[in-house]
Formats: sequence, structure tokens, C-alpha cells
Amino acid sequence: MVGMARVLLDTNVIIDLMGRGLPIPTVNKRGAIRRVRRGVVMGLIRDLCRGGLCVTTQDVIYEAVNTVIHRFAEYGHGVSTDEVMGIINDVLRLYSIGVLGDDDLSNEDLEVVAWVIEEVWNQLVEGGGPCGGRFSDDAVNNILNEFLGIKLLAIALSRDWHIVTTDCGLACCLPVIIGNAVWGPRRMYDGVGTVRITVEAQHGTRRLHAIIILIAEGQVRRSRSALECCTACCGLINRQ
Amino acid sequence: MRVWGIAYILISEALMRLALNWLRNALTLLKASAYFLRGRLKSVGRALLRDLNEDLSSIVKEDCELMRIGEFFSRAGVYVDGDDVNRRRRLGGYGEGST
Repeated sequence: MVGMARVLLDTNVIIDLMGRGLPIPTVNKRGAIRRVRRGVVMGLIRDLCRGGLCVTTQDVIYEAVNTVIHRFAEYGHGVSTDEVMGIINDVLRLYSIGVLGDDDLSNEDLEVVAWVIEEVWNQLVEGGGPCGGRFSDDAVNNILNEFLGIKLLAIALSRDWHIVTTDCGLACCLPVIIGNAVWGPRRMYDGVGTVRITVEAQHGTRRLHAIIILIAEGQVRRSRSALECCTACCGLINRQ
Repeated sequence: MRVWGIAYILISEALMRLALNWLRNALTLLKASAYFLRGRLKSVGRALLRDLNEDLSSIVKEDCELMRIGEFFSRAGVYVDGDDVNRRRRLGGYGEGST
């Protein structure tokens, strides 16, 4: 499916890998979709990561740790960072996933990161572009929460890598904002749709390129373009 | 109960994978039989048995690790999945301390 390109894994994918086997509290259509998606994430990652091609970033690990700790807190339980790190390390070892630290980023990578942040910031704050005005004020105020997705996309663009994510904001909206996003054919993977989005952008003299594999669901899956996906994604966001 | 639930899911998935591997191996064997002589088939059979044992031990090892991860969450009855991350990114999620 991907050839020999390195595959960058988003936090939601790492968390879904952990959740395999966990009973879902609510048994409804949404719960069923979640369960199937977790199975798809696991199968896809098992295939893609064979040969040690998968990496994630130190930021993703922090986000995963924070997400798990806060989830435990919501359930009224305390858990230490070390305990959660131990579990995440199990997942990384199980699927042969490497970790990319900030020290591993080159100047070229960092230049692209800065450029993508600038592009996204301008569009969100000024309200222009296809996704302008579709994010809530809170989301604009909390642009730092989008920073991780932005950084992943920038690294993938700078290095011509692939990203695997379940985040429609990262897969559809960010590419539309910063460049040309081409919506690929949907592929069914164990009954769940996956979409390849090719992202191209021009930064100075550099032609940037990346491929995002979105494990999609619902409205996002039915979209025919990155723009439609972005609109559907914003609809999902507003409902939450 | 939750631990048994996880064990059931993992075991059923492992058995399914094992069955698929058996099927794949059996098909390979059938294909091989069209091309190889009887003596040759014996060595193919031995190779398939070795592969099967390797598959089985890797499935057991992997499912033991997954079981440990499942137990970690089920002990406290905590459910977590990728949607938690996506929601948090859009809505500011858990506030301070976010990366």
C-alpha cells in the first residue's frame, strides 16, 4: 500500500492500538463503529509497520500520556506517568514503532514547521480560505492544540513521508489550508473506509509532498474531496 | 468479568488469525503438490509445520502483551480511544497541561 516510505503515526492511532480488546461502555452504532475502527487501525498498522518503517514523535508520546492520564482522572482514578509510559512502550515495541525526537529534526524540517504554522494561523485568525470561520472561537483560541497535527504534517511534507491518522482536521482541513490536497480513491480495509490524501505545497523553492492515510468514518468517509471532508469534519466538531 | 471479556476477544482473534494461517499454508501445500514429487512434499510439509509453530508462538507472545495492556485499562474500568485525542485537539480538551 505504501511502498518504502516512512510512516508517521498520529496519537489517535497509538491510542487506538492500546484500546484493542477493551470492552466499549456503550453498545450502540457509534460504539460498534469505534470497535471496528480499532480493529482496522491494528490490522493496517501491523501491515504498514512490518520492516520497521513506522515512527512517531516524542510530542505524540506526550499527548498520548496526557490523554490516558486525564481519562483515568475522569473515571476517578490516579495513574502515574511512569505506568502510562510503560504501557505505551509496550505498544511501541509490539508494533516496532520508532520515536523521533525534536533533536532529530533538521533545519529544513523546522523551516517547514514554522511556515505551516504561519499559514494555518493566518487562515484561522483572519477567517479566510475554505475552512475559515468553520472552527469555533475556542478552537482558534486553542490553536496550540492543533500544533501537534501541524507539526506532524510539516515533518511528513519536509521528508516526503506518509501519515496515518483518524483525525479529519489533520487529514482534510490542514492540507486544504496550506496547499493542494488531492482526495484519492477510497479503499475498504476490513469493512472500514481508508482514504489517501496527497498533499502538495510550495515553500520557497522547495516542492513539498506527503501522503495522509485517513481511517475515516461517517460523513468524512462519504466525502469526495478534501474540502467536503473538511466541511463534514467541522460539522462533526460542532456537534460534539 | 472485563478481563474475561478481553481474553475472549483476544483469543477469538488469535484463533481466527491462526485459522487463516492454516488455510494459507494448506493452499500453499496444495499448490506445491501440483509441482513436487512425493519426497519433496514431505520437506514442504516439515517447513509448513515449522512456520506454523513460529506463527503460534508469535501470536501467543503478542496476545500476552496485549492482554497486559488491556488489563491496565480494565482494572480501573477506563475506556480510551483515538476520538479522545481528536476531540481534545478541536475543543481545547483538558486545558492546562496539554501538549
